[in-house]
Amino acid sequence: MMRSITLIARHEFIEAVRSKSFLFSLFLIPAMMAVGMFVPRWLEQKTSIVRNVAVEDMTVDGLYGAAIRQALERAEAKEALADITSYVRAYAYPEYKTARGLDPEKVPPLLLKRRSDMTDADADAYLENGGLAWAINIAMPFVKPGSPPPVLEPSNLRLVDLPPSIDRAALRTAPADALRPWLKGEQRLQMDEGADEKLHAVMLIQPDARPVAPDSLSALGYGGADDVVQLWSDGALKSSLSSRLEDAVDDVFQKKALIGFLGDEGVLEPLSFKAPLMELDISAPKGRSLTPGDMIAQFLPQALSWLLIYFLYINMFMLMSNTMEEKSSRIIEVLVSSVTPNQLMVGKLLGSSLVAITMFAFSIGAFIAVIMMAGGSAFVEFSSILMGLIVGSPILPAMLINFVLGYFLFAGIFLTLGAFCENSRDVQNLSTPMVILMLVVPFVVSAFADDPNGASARILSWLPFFGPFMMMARAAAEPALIDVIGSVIVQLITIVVILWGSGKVFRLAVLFSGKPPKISQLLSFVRSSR
Amino acid sequence: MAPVIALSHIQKYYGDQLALDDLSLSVEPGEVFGFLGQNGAGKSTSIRILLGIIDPDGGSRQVLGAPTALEVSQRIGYLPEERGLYKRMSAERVIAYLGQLKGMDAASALEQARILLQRYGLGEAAKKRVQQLSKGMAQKVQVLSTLVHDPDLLILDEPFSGLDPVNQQVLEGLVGDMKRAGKTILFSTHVMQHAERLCDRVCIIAHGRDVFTGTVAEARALLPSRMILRTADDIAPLKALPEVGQISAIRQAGALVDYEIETLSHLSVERLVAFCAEKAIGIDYFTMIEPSLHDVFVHLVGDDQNRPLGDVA
Repeated sequence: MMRSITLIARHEFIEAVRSKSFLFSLFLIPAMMAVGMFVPRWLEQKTSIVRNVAVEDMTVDGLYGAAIRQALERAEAKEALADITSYVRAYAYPEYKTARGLDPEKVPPLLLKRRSDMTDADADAYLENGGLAWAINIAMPFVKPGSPPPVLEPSNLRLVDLPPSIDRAALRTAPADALRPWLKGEQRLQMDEGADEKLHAVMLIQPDARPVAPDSLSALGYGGADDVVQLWSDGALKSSLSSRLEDAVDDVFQKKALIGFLGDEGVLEPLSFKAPLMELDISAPKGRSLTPGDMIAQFLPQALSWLLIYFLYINMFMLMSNTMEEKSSRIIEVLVSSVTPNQLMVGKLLGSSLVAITMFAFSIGAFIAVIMMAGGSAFVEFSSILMGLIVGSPILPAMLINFVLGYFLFAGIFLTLGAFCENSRDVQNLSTPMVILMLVVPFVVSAFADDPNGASARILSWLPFFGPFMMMARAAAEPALIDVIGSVIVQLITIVVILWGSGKVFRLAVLFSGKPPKISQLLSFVRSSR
Repeated sequence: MAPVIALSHIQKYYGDQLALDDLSLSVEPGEVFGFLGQNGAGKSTSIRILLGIIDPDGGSRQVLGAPTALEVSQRIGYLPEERGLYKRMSAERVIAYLGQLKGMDAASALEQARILLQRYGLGEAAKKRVQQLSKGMAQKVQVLSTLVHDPDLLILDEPFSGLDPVNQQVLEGLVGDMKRAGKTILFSTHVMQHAERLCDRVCIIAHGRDVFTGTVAEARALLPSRMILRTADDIAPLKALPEVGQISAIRQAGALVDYEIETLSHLSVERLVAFCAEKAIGIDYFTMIEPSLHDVFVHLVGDDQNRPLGDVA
């Protein structure tokens, strides 16, 4: 019996992987990933030009211009430092890593920081000590040899001085007229290398921007006026660049307001202070700190549910078409004279599962390869954390069991539907309601997953089709043992019934040689035949 | 020796329609057994019941000593009436796969597939996909797939249908080869010439009922043989012979008339010639005509020609 099932599964697998459509689907997903990752970057590299931006402070005392320039340089330094620390987390020697990231006892504090943790002092250290080379020097002792070099997002901002030939007085009265020839590219900047370049944007800080009065926030010089700081461009400034400029202005104005209001630069110090907050849960006797692994409880059920849908979707037409083709090509009769219909169906189910696993493994492999080639340390770091969390999760076995049960349930239904089909049109017609059901189930389950041990969730756990999704969602909430066992038994019985019915329909199809039966006819034969 | 196939009082209904009515038959080892009947007579249903593809509503069956053919499927080769193969597989791989389903290991199934394809003139088509083969070649491939595992029992449902005369000849040769190898063969057909040439025994069914089972000679004996006698004389005296039945003139050329003489029982040529000499009946031409299986078939099921046929199988 097992030999026949293995043989059929092997046949299904080999025939599927030899088909052009399989090869096409196999390479389609990685190709799309590669296109999604490389093409934007390539286009960015090809089309990205450094934008020349001038910051002109027209206040009498030059209150803001230098500070905004500094804020922009610091922001860029923080980005570079964050890229470096992400690179170290992705490629560090294992001995420098812990479950929560890099080991604080073995790695300098700077390398422990993420983007949001970087302070102005870190940025200043970066800028004062030689920039990237300095940061790399700190990082490299902790990075495994053979790791790809760090890839930093290139800066697309160059701060330039406003050309002296621009009439400063005109900037106050008619800035548009004064800047138009420059921002339209009719007048160009003379660079040090002798080349000329376009001026892309000019930030004008209006003369009426005043120091902040110490007595009231309402006395802020820019309070109520929207155009105290004006950002002029030809309308084609990238939104990411204008955001960076805006952030820098916000930063400077907020800090200056704070200092002005409180009258002391020392008030800025708490801004870089991290509160000593630790999340704890009670699953350990003395409580334990929440680690990144805890996010698995939220993340994995959803991910696995959609992964299951993906598995089924890519296999759905193969499951239905294979059965339909064997029926319509009449090889069915030879098959059912050699093996039992149930052996046939189980073999087909296993074969199709192998195809799905192959496709999935290839996709994951390609995904990792693409990430490695793309060299994005943030992706690498995220992937390695993710894999670590998934593989080490204690609830993973329960989830996988339900994943497999869910796959077999739906795949069994698709096999049965294939046995009803006579042509590809039937396949299309019959698959539509199942696809809808397949999509509805996870949504219904997620609606009840907030209360994983509530009555609704428990009832859904015992229902065919809903059970595997619900039990995946409940896995981290320590569901009652009776629910765990009961759900598995219900799903197993449903699978057996589906495969039995599917085999019966398949076998009965032999009787309808040359003339496709109506579904009602087949159902009546299933009911009446022995 | 126990029969290879034994169907006993088989009944099968499709809904309210009785497809097989108390059908019994037995096929002995080494026999070539013809299963004859009109389209819709119940041949394919009987074969499917025999193979366990469908179950009977009554009666019992035994194949190669087992209650269901699936238990001994490795010893059975089956060619269904409606043929089909995996179109995208090569000829040799499809034969090998079906051989594996019959218990062969992969290597020997592939080797045997190649040998058979070579032996029956399809060596060059071995690696071609089934969909690239002509209809006749694909049918040959399917026939070979029933032989690849060297079965003891071959069940061929309408094996000659759709084959051109040359391939029909090849298939007849193949059945002969199998018989010489001691295999038992059951095939269904409604073309009597094949059955006449190949079968040791036949079963004629009509509307699910067995109307005759026996050897071809026994079948022929069901009908009187005929003689054609050409003479210019009056042959009325022949009626005096007890073996002679109806005499009818069937054509005339000048004074010579051809008479068809029905014999009621065996009438030897010597006795006829002696009688004619005695009665001064000149014989210009004479021949004996034995009834064909076709005649017997038409005789046995002919009355049913206008009965409606079932929709199923």
